[in-house]
Amino acid sequence: MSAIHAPHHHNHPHPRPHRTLAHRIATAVKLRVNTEGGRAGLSPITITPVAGRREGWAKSVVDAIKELPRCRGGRRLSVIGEEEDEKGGNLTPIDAEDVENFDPTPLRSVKPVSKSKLSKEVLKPSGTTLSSLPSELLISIAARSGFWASLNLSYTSRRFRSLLSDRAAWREHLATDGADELIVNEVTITTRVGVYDHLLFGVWQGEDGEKDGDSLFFIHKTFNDDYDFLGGVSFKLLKGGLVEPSFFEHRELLPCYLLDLQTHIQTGSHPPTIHLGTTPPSNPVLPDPIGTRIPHSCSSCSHYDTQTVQKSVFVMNDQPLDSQMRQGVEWCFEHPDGRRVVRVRVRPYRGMLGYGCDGDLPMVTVNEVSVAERRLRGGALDVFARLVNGREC
Amino acid sequence: MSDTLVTLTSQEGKPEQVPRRIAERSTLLKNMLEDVGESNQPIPLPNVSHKILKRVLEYCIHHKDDPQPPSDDDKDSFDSSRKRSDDIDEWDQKFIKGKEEEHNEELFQIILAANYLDIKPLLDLGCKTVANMIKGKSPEQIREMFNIENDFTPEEEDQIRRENEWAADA
Repeated sequence: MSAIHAPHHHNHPHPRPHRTLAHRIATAVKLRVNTEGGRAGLSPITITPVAGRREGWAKSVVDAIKELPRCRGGRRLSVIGEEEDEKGGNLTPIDAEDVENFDPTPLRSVKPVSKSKLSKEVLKPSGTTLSSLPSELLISIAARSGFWASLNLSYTSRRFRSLLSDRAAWREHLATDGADELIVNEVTITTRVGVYDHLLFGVWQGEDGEKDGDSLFFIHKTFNDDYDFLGGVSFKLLKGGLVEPSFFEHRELLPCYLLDLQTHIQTGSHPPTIHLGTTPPSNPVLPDPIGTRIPHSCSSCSHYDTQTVQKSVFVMNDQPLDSQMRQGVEWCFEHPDGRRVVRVRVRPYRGMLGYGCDGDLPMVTVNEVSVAERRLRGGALDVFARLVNGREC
Repeated sequence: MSDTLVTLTSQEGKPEQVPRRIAERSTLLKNMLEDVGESNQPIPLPNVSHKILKRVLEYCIHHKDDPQPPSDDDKDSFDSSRKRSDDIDEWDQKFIKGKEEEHNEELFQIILAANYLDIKPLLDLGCKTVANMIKGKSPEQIREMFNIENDFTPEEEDQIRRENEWAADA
């Protein structure tokens, strides 16, 4: 507090009275400023938070003024309610010009307040409010309120939007005992279905095991002793409730199986493949799988052993009427957690006369995902896929 | 030992005497009492007002015979319906409702106190109650109910509106 000088008004083209300076700051930061006592230019300024403003505001003003580079002279600043420092009570002396040149803009509230009717009616919150609860409690509340309510909560203010834009905030939604909303996926598989075909549905561990969730499968087989596999679709049912379809190969086409088969043939434990000659062999080194079956299991294909068929349809027996088959075959899987349901419908392809699209078949379409009987669309689908399931949609 | 009285001191310094068994519904107090052992020293609770402390103790007295909730490590073995928001006991509903005029503020203070004192069932009750209040409400209704200031810029509001236009078609 060594250098307290009278302000250099003679250097300033338009010296202003101190009250004006003080009130200029006051206007900028919405505080009440009083000058009192002392000589001209050295009177102490007392900053009092206006009703409803916290003292922290006043302190931040003082702190900001402390940062001013020059302190050639000035007045004492103190905040009502704040204890004076140990050096004698005054905060950093400031020069009147510095105060006049002080740009209050960064201290203004940068929140552009919405012009909507409701926002004008909202009173300044006092006491304990929902917004004042710690984040972990808000997340817990959001998880219990369910997906749609959480989404609406995120639309109420920046804080909730920011809080619920984080994937970690939705972790409790993934817990089986979290929100109790039913998530339903509807999937359609369109393929060429013949009278002698088998349609198999069930659960398995899938290629990635159960890391991300459970897996379901659909296998299309035909009536052929040698090679009956026509195609397979796997559905990973994520913990968040979405399904991710993918195609999988028949076990007898996997490299591990073919190598094992080759070893069997070379060692004479299995007869060589008889190629029927209708088509050239797919691999001149490895035998074609036609007509060959060996028991095989290894670490890379052991997940095929986990397949459990839950529904089997032989088209000729179970769908005798053409009209019924038009509707397709449906299988509904309900997860034991009671929250996730997948409806898979297999429809036979019916193309226009003269137009063939065999190359595009089978075709898998996720028709609809609904949460609590409400269809996910637009932003809601994006949030559900990205934040709840951790996937881009 | 469980019949001994424990003195709890609220934020305002007002003492409140309760049987140890009741105080031990709070995991925080249970651990403190186990650490301290036999002591007549009052336990200060600087984060809980006297009014809220009395409400919390009212809850603890009513639920004094309930089984203790498991620790966090044991969470999976606990009743999975704990988080479901539609299974609130009738007495609990009346308790948490409190006085109509100061319902929200008191509710949030009870939640904060339950969180501080680590009384899981009471915390669950509070969170479930707020969750039920939010369910089925539009963002405007939630703002109004909880006195939340809409601080979005017009551009942000437009973006939200666009997101909602799609969702609203459902």
